Amino acid sequence: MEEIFVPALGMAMDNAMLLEWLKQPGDVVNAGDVVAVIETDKTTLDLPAETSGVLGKHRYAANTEVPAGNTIAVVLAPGEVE
Amino acid sequence: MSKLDKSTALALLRQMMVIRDFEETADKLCLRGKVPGGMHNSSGQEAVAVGTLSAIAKDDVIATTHRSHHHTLAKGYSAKSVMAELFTKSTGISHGRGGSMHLAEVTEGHFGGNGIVGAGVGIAMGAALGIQHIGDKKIAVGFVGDGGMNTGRTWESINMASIWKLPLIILVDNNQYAVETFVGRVTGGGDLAKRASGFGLPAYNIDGQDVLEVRKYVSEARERALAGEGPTFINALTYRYYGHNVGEKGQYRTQEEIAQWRTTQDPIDKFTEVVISSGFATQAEVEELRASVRKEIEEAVAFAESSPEPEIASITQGVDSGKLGVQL
Amino acid sequence: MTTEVKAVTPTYSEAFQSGVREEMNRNKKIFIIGTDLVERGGHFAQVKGIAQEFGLKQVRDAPISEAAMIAAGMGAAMYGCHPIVDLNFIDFSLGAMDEIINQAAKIRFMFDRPVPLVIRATSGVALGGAHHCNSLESFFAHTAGLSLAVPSTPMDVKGLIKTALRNEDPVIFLMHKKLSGIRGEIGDENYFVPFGKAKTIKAGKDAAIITYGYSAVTATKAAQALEAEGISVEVIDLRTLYPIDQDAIDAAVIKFGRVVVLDEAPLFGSITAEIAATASERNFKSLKGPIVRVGAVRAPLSANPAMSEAAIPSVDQISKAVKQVMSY
Repeated sequence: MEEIFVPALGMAMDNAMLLEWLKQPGDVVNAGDVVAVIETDKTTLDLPAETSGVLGKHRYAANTEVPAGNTIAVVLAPGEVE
Repeated sequence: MSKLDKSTALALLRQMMVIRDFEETADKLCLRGKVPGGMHNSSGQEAVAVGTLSAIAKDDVIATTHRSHHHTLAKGYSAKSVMAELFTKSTGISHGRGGSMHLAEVTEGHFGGNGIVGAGVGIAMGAALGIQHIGDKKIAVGFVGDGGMNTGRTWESINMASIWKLPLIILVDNNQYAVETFVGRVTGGGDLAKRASGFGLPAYNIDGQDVLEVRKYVSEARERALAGEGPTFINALTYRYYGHNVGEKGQYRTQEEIAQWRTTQDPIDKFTEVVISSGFATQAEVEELRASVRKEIEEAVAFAESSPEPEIASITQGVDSGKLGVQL
Repeated sequence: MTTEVKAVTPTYSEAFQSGVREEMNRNKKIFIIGTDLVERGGHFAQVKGIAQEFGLKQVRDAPISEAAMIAAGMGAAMYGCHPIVDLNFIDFSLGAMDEIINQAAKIRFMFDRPVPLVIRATSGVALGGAHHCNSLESFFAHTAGLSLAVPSTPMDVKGLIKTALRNEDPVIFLMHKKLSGIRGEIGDENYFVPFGKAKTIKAGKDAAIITYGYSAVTATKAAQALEAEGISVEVIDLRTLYPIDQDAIDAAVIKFGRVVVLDEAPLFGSITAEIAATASERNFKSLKGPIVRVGAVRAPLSANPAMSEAAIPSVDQISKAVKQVMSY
């Protein structure tokens, strides 16, 4: 199970804005696919999956703030459950 | 320096593995917000640290840069105390006050990482002056990056070390990029050893991916320093695999370039071949070594996680001695 | 609701880009020197995209040579250009203090030659530890010949940088780390904020907090908290520390007689002392009691987030200071 999370970057960043989900729960994702787009205090950032599998639940809705370091979704390998 | 023996070889290999595993683990934790203020990953530069620190004495002095986890681990500090400092915990090497960039244990000759580019050379030069003044049989090593090669304070200190024949090694941990700026783009003349030799000290450009080469040059420089013959400048060419700071995904170098260094110039891979071909260990024994390193780093993370935060009330303590007003 | 605003208005850093772009479009003598500007756009994205738009002659990545960067900017300014030297962190100005204080600040007085130079840097307390969180405002404000901008909103960033770039004095332009990502409206091409004009960011009836930079945010939070307790506090954002809006300070003292001066620099010797002392001298009889200053403890900043946070004024401390002036 791969956790997709908001990376903690920079010296002042506490939260990022989850701008958009590009993959829905249950979607098949391939390694490298962008799952969500977030916005940090510097820039917008694509959050890609590093592994292939099926996307789990959206743990945050689009247009909400996510604390840095928090997981927004997981990529499930065959047989895994969330 | 004596011929490489088995226990030394395995110690060098293991120390490089510790640094690599430490850095890659810390990098992931940093992205999760566990390292306040971020950190600078030294993966790829292990041979410079291990080659240097293995060639000097335990109580020799070092002063270093913003990227100094590898130097600190190679000086013999435990992964636990360094990881705890990255987490800014009270059990960290700097008691949580310094963080990733300010690892130090001055009483034992670690004069600190530094947030200011080039500052470590000056501090080490001063330590070398102290050593000379007191007459101790020690030397100091000032680490500096390629970025610090273009700041005036570095060269002022090198000049001073040269004219006073101080027991100093200036060790350029040259990973070729000052944040995003390629060294060749901002370094007039290009050849750093040639530049340094203008200050009247022996200066060498060496292979920073070869732990034995680094070790050899540092060892010889140390002998010179102890003999009163003054400082040596060593520019060790190396490469960092990750961004300047954790999470940086710069476009200033190609993925091919990074892959090229990783696959053909990796200091751990290169030395592993030496270890195996010399008959010091089998591939299986190397893997066992790696597993023991993994365990050590896992323990370091657990230690850092479970360590207490520093006392908030201590924030104004230790700023000065408070004794100047006492009537003597 | 707030989300929608966030999606359309520029950030504090983008406000700087916008102001610089507009001025560079009309004045080719403006150029930028600094480190990591071209690809990264500066460590706070403050000049992101400008090199791509204007070319590498207008945005120059320099070696890490602070003294030379300031000297280059100053000499070019004396020659007739209008450079922006971007130090990324104001902490790094310390390596160029001679060039700033002994040279740039004094040239006009001695040689009757303007020095149209902007020294931009990010300032203020955030994560990053002792070498990246210095508050050096009082050093610069104390130096005759320098002007000092400390904006707290995107609107003021753009309005002040445009003013600085239409002027001919050396300006220290400090942007706060913790504000880099805040969003807000910005003015158009013809919107300029003059130096020396404070802005009331929250009106009040009972007392005033005079402040600047990120402290304007904490002051506003304190004022909102106090509102619930029936205390109505005015928050005045100075926006520039030199020239300083003495009229606004005098007016606040005369109107309220109860004044708190706030920033996050160590209290001893800070700019707040200057403000309080001058205000007392000028309008002592209007004061109901002493002006209360709130600032940081006298200690370097720790890398530990809780220690660092505890070193600087909290909303609670500010509220207490207001209650103290209300008790007179």
